[in-house]
Amino acid sequence: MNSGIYAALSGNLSAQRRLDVISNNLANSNTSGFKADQIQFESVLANVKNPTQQAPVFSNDRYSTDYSPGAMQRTENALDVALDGDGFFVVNTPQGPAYTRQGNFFRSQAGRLVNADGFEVQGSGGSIAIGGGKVEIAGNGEVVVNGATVGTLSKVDFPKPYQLTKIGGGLFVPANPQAAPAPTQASVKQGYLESSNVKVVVEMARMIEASRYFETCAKAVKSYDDMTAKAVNELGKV
Amino acid sequence: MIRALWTAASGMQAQQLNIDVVANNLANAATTGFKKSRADFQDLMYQTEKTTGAPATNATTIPTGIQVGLGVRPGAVTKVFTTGNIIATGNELDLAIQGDGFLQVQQSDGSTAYTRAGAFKRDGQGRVVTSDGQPVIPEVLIPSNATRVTVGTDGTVSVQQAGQTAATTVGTLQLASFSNPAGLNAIGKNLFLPTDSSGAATTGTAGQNGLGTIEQGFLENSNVSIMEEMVSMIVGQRAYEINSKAIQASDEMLQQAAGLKR
Repeated sequence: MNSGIYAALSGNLSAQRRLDVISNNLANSNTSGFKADQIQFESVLANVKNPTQQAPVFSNDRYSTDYSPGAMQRTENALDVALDGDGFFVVNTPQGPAYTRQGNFFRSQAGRLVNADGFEVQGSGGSIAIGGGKVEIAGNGEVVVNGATVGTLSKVDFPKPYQLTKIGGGLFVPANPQAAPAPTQASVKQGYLESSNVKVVVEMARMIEASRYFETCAKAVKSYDDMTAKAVNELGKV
Repeated sequence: MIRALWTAASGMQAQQLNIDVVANNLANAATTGFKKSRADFQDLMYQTEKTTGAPATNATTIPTGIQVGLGVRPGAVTKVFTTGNIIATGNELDLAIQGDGFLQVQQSDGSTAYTRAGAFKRDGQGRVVTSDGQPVIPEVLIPSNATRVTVGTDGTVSVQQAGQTAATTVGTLQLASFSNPAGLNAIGKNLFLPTDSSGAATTGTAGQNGLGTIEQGFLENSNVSIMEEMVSMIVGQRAYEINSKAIQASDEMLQQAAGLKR
């Protein structure tokens, strides 16, 4: 059998995976603090153009997360915060600290500041007890309740390029558990949320590209099949 | 392929909820004391196909792994407690709160509910009640021969009785506040109940300790901004549409794959 059929097939698989990633971006186009992922097409083409390289197309996939900031959306909710600048808020999950830019926080039963999943938001001295009062959050992350400072929101950043793993729920963890976050100067904006940074038009174009690429590769598979059929059925005839 | 189908489906479902919330806001755009809601979303779990930082060879590591997300889910629907427009009605039992706080009313089961819709009426016994007949707490009785009711900014209710020159105080309205009003549970009819997230109510005199003042003859309108909701609706509708396109694209790809076999 011609090995080209497998090259074309790997193109199909690659297109499939790219559509998976695009779908996830589109599904989260309205999720605050979400960062779009992409698998680049260029690398796939480059690989196809290089006839000497027989490696499956996947190995050269360039996967990356776009960490550019999303638009600031005003919500006027006192417990909604957005980070203006690079960095992340810290929440404490049962598996350890996780990092997020999704700042729609809530008050837990125990009066602490938590995220939508109930994980406690970390401040400089552990969790932040907001108790029962009017919460004001300053640009430096200082949380003031009824005029008294109760803590300072931790804002941290990692060395770039980021090597972070998404764990869902708007959370990131460093790929290397030993990676130490450093404090960041990003300012906190109370009453705002950061929108998703998904660019819908770009995703739409990528989706068309992926569909067409899939179609082309499927046609190539079919051509190989036709050729094989000819070889089997016609060359055998006397 | 199937992954993209379900991922996009979760996006359509999320946007459906978004539109539900927007529709309810719009339906209540003219409801006294109504507070708009906002839906927040979260990304679902990720399938990690290649771990970032894993060793590729002895000397090198993979700079960026491959993670494929599985869609979106609603994280929370939050009430937004900004103040609505205060409109003058001239009605003596229409009360608006300027600033923070809620009026308290007694439900039929004896529990207390909280509201910012101060369109009160007088019932057959002279009690000050909501449109549904729920008496305000603390109870205020207005004598039947009262010719004029005056509510002070601190909540003092006094009446002018026929044949008398001096006003008589018949009760004092108190306001309640919550540490996190966004966590209140809306039960309809403009009423809210406290939850663990909102914290317990703290009651006090209007105009003191950060509580707002009571303005007689005014009502607080809904805080829904129709412009904003229209924009949210457009965003939600388009997001819904684009997710349906992703389903369509996955479907077409499946069809092409199926077409390979003759």
